[in-house]
Amino acid sequence: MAHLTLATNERAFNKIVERATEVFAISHSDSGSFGPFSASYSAGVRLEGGKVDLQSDGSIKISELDVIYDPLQVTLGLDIPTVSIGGFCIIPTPFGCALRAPKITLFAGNPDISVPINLSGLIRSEISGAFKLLPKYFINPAKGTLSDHDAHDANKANEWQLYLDPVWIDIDLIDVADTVGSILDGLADSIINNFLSWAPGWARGIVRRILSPVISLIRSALDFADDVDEWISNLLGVSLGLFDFVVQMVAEFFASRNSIFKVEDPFKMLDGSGTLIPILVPVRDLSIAVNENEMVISTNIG
Amino acid sequence: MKSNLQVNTSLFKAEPTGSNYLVSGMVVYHPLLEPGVYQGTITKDETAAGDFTIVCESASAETQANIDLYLIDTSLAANAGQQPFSFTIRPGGYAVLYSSFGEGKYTVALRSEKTDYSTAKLQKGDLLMLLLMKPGTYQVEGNNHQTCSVYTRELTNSPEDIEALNQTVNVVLGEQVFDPAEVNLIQGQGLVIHFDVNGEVNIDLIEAKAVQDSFVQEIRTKHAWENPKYKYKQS
Repeated sequence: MAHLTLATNERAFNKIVERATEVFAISHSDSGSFGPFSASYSAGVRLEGGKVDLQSDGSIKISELDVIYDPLQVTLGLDIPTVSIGGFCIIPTPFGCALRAPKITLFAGNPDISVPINLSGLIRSEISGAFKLLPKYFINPAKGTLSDHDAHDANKANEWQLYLDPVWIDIDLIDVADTVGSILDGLADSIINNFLSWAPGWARGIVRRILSPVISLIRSALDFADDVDEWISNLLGVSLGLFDFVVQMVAEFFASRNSIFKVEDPFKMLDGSGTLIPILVPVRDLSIAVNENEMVISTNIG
Repeated sequence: MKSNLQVNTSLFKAEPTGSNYLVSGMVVYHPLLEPGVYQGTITKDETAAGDFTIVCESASAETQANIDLYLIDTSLAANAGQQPFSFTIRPGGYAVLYSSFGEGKYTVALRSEKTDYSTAKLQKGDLLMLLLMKPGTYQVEGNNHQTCSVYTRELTNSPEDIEALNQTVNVVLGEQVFDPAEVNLIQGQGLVIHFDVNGEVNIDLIEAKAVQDSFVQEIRTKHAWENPKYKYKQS
């Protein structure tokens, strides 16, 4: 039986993976509740760059694959607790309070606040991972009862497809633009000022005092400390699981959604010419070998 | 930022002018000494605004019935024809009449077989609590020209002030005088007038106190900018 061998060097393989990552685009939204604090996001994610290294152990290492979040709209929600005035004792007795002031609530209904933060294009994370090449045979459902030649002509032939099967994938938040710090810095103050804006000047002090539990809540919910990067990382990565989701999508994308290389079966050995039809030969027993210099695909044909 | 926050601003907008009308920040405590059924009728801005019933009976352990006039008023409007609000207290307990929201001016009539009472004219034994939010000097005056000067100052962040918000300042309206005739108050602290006679009181803000609005100042400082070119010319 005849053999067919295709070899691709590391540079060419880089191009192949780069082209694959270019088509990666997902959008997702999710939300979570953390006590009185909730957050949600709506994100569009794409990949850029990436460096491919062929390894001597037969794996492929991809590093510095940038994850771009654009758009990325994060909304922080705060469930405002009931704040009451009154309830203090009017007539104290040795046995307790005989008469109390009624409690008057400061907010009507069940108030909450939502704060949208536009982080589009302002944060960047990076993916790295190791992959094994995984060949899969694709039976094209569109081929149906078509002959091999008709399927070839109609671009509906069966295929051998090569996928990158992830061994491990890491994601790191690598860059948060300085503007994010500026946006978040003023956020708590802006919310609190908004809270107080209705009050006449002479009432601000007492309103501030009455609202102090709410103000504390806002401050603690938006407690960025000095590390905005860590806060963003915790919010998106830990609380909302965005980074895990991206890793899962990237893993699925390479493992089963987007093949990096395809070989049509039967394989066209010669083009047709005049009245001669193309020469197609079946591809059997496809195998792959990777070393630090190249990827080699071998198969039996005929 | 989106918010469905509806702040109860009435406490800061409604300024009590007298005991004849109940507004936000005022509470009338009227003791019900006789057992029986009391029919309450609420009038807002001279218009009927709702009814309620208080059953005063020994079997009850309640020492006060908190009757939110705004709640009854708005519930009546929303659910016309519904069962009237009903409360139960024991004899000697208090009907506590107040408005939790809005800027309506209420009066309440309470009638039983033996009594006929209106908040328009308070009775001996009643208490009137005022939450004076606006700093300044107030004068409270009774029917016989008894006067009490109330000096209300701005709340500070001191622990004493915070503690004081939970303690009322008490004055007694007697036949001839208020006792004491002047009191110091912190804005938001309850002033309780004990009526030792039947009658009314008028409340006048004689002089509002200028309050340094640190909040506004902070904002202004942040955004103020003077063109140095003109500043130089002025000097």
